[in-house]
This record gives sequence, structure tokens and C-alpha cells, in this order.
Amino acid sequence: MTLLLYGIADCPPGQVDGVGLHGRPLRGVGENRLTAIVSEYAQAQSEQTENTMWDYERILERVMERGTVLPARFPSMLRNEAAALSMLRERRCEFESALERIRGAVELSVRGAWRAGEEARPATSPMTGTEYMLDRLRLHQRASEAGRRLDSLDALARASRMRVLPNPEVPLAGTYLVDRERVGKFADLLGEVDEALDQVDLVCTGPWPPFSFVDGAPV
Amino acid sequence: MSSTVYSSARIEPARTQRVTLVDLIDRLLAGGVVVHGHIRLAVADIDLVDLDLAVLVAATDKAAGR
Repeated sequence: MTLLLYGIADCPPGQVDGVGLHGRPLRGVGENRLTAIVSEYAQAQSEQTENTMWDYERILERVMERGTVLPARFPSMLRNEAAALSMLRERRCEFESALERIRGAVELSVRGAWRAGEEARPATSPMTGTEYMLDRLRLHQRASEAGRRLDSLDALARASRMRVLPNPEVPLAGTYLVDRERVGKFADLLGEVDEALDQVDLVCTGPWPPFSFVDGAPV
Repeated sequence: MSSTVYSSARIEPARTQRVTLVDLIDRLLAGGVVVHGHIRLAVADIDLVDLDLAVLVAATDKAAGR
């Protein structure tokens, strides 16, 4: 039967237990302290809904309470246990290095939304192509300037990345790899930064499994 | 369960909730370890256009190597 992969952990396979999606038991497949955390997954259960994704995230959080886990993209399927073992053998160095990088850390997301009245507004009169592009450019520059005001958060993160998105309402998307015990301090500093901003309001969500830091550079 | 760590007092709770959902989808569908050759992506049954856009932006951004 097809296996659903939740993540990669550096623990013996026998230490994996708990319940996965649709009540299927979790189990470990691996060797030499590198283990794929999986459960059986029938094709009939493959519908992806918001609830299923929250369930998957909660399962990962529970697994992470017992050790470091590299989260897998959802839904990642493996044909069988042999495929899981083959993947672990081929990518052992990559996984071990990534596990070391994220050990003891969680991911926090910071989004910046334009304050009411600051967001992109529909043009009141027809715009030429050039006017439209210049308008977009000005908005992008304003968002970039606001993004730079968040640079002080980097001091509390092991790694980070800020993106300026072509989104007329929420133009800033930052992701931070933060030591678990520094999450409170990060939230406090974020509050101070937010108070000092005059065009953008901030929201921080998490702590997430470090999905954006599994291969070095955040996605 | 992951939730809001901080939210500006000026942002309405409904918008904060939407951001949390976008963050969930962004991470699960565009982040994480990729199992080469065995991955199957599916779009969640969520009818909010900007959620799809968030996933598309992240995926394009990654594909471009930025």
C-alpha cells in the first residue's frame, strides 16, 4: 500500500508511534538513526481539504515534541517501504545536514498588510500601460522600504528571508527560523517594530515545523 | 497547533485568521522535503483566490531560484 510521508527524523524507527491521518498508525521506516515517518494511505483518502492539512500539521507538531523532524511537503507519497529506504540511503547526507540546521528551532511567518488607506487602489481613471507599471513600481518600492524596517528581527533568527509580493493587500512575507525558546522574545520585538511602522501592520503566525528551511535557503 | 503569535491591534481578527490559513497552505504545499519522483500535489478545496495565488507565488519564486 502507498505510504504517506510526514517527515524525516534522526531516531531509531522503533521510536515512532502515534496516529496519522485518517486514524492510520504512524510508523518508522529506516536504518542507522535516520527514519522516514509514514502511515499507510489509501488512494480513496486522497482528498485534500483545509481540515486534512490542519490535521497533518498537528500530527507533525506532536512528532516534533519528541525530536527533530524535517517536515515533508504535503502530500508526499512513497510506493512502499523499499522506496522509503532507498530515499534515505541516497539522500542521507542531505537529510543529516538539514536536521542539524533546524535542531531546536521552529519557523515563524511574518506578513505585512497595508494599513487601511495605504493599499493599492483601483485607478479612478483609465491608465496607460506605462502609468500602470509605474504605479506598480512605486507600490513595490514602498513595500520594500517597509520590509527593511523589519531587519532588526534577523538578530533573533538563525536564518530568514523577506519577500515583497505583488499582492495589493499583503505585500510582505517574511519567514524566520527561530530557536524555540526565543519565540516569545521574537514576538515582543515584532510588537515594537509594528508600533513604529506607519504604513504596514504586522501579523506573525506559528510556530510552524520548519517547512521553509529543509534545504538551506528558505523557499 | 500553530496559530497567531502576534497580530497588530489594527488588523481585524478575520484577516488574521485568513493569514494563518494562507501560511498553512504556503508551507505544506510549497515547503518541506520533496520526494523526487513520488510526489503528487493537489490543490486544497478552498475557494479563496488569494490562497491559490500565495501558493503560486511561492512556487514560482522557488522555481526562479530567488
